[in-house]
Amino acid sequence: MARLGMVIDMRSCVGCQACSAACSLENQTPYWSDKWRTRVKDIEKGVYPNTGRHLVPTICMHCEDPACMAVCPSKATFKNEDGFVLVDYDTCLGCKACMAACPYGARYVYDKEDIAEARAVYGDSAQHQKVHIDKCTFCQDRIARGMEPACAATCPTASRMVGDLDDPGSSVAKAVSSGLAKPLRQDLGTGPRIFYIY
Amino acid sequence: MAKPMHLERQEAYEWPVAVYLFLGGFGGALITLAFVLHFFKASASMTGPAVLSGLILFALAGAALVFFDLERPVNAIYSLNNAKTSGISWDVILIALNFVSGILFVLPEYGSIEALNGLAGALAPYQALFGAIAAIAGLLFPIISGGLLAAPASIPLWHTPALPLLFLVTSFALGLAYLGSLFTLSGTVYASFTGGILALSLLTAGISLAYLEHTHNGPVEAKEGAHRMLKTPRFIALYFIIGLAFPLALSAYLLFTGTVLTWAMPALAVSLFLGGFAVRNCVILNGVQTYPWPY
Repeated sequence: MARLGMVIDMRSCVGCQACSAACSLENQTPYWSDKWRTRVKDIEKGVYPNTGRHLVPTICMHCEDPACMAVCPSKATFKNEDGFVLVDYDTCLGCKACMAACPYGARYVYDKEDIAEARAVYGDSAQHQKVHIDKCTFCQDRIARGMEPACAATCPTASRMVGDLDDPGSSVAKAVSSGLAKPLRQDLGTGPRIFYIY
Repeated sequence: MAKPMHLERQEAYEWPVAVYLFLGGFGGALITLAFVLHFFKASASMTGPAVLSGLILFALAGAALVFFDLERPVNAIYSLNNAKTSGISWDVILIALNFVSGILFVLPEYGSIEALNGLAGALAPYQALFGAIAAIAGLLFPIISGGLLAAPASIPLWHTPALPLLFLVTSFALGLAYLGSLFTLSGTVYASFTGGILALSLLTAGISLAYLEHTHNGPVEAKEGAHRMLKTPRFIALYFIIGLAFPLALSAYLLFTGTVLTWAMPALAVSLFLGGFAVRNCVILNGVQTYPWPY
């Protein structure tokens, strides 16, 4: 079974937010509350005159050893058979322990107001019917249909590459094994499946 | 050195978390202290009021947890699913255990009430057992509650074993002062309570210093969180002055001069209550994390 992962090349990201928009359309994330499963953060660093501006695409890292899963009291956060970290909306308490535990800020509350707005916007086709903690699913429904996640498929500069991390021939595995692509906060031992080139 | 520009306050927990962690820890400490008093036969008359107070605090903590903080209160039923690794699961188990065993422990104290007479008689031989279970659960609750906050490695202000210890010691200092107040109201003043409060306040001071040391030498997020905390006048006034310096000074004065003041225990209880809540609230509100940008 393929161990899918993603490599994000920050050198070519232009910060157009097409990934955010595609994700929001695909997964009905509450853009009206400025909550996103993936977002390109615009970071300023340094002190004048040595300042810099960086564009950092964010997303759930689908960790091998996810901190969010360990703290979830109801096991609503779980890993599916492909190793993706998902949330069972039926058993989520909304206690936010996972939000506090996630070092990558990848989660948010899909709250009552968002549910009401989602019903108003999407009508009967609204995907989110219950309050829950929401996060990236790596577009499981698209993966099942043999497609890339919406964010990767729409990126105009192909900054997001998806592939099998266990296949030495894949571009993703090559970038990781060469050391070009690195995970964030390796020191925490979470084992992210998302790697960054910077 | 310039501060990183991406330090942000955590958004998961707000003040209600401090309320129920505080009330739960206080309730647990009260039930444990009641059992100790009962076991050493210090004062049987105080077992009932102490345990009932603890149970009421647990009920408030449980209610706060379910109705004010959870996004889906009805789903609290699922909170026992992950006791292996989740601090919240453990807290819910301890609250339930404490509640049931606390009631079974205290019922024999009310055998004089006709309606409870039969039940109290049947439970009396097992009172010590139920009391011990409730006491252990009460002892563990503040530790696990501190552990719940100490779990996220990404929030270094919380990620330290000093926090569960601080929660434990402040809970027991407050429990002791509250019991001392009950005794004072019933006309008895125990010097040993003052000694206990002094010892626990000294421990609190020591752990607070260790905690500040952790933040001073720790990651930049811990430093920033502590910096924000120490810049909060409410924290300085309620925790360091009212919740720590005042109990230390008053209990030392009472103990070493042999002075008996009827208002001392209630005053200590109020100051430790304010300080205990302030430290939890400020620690939670100032939990700072950094987005893990590679730059």
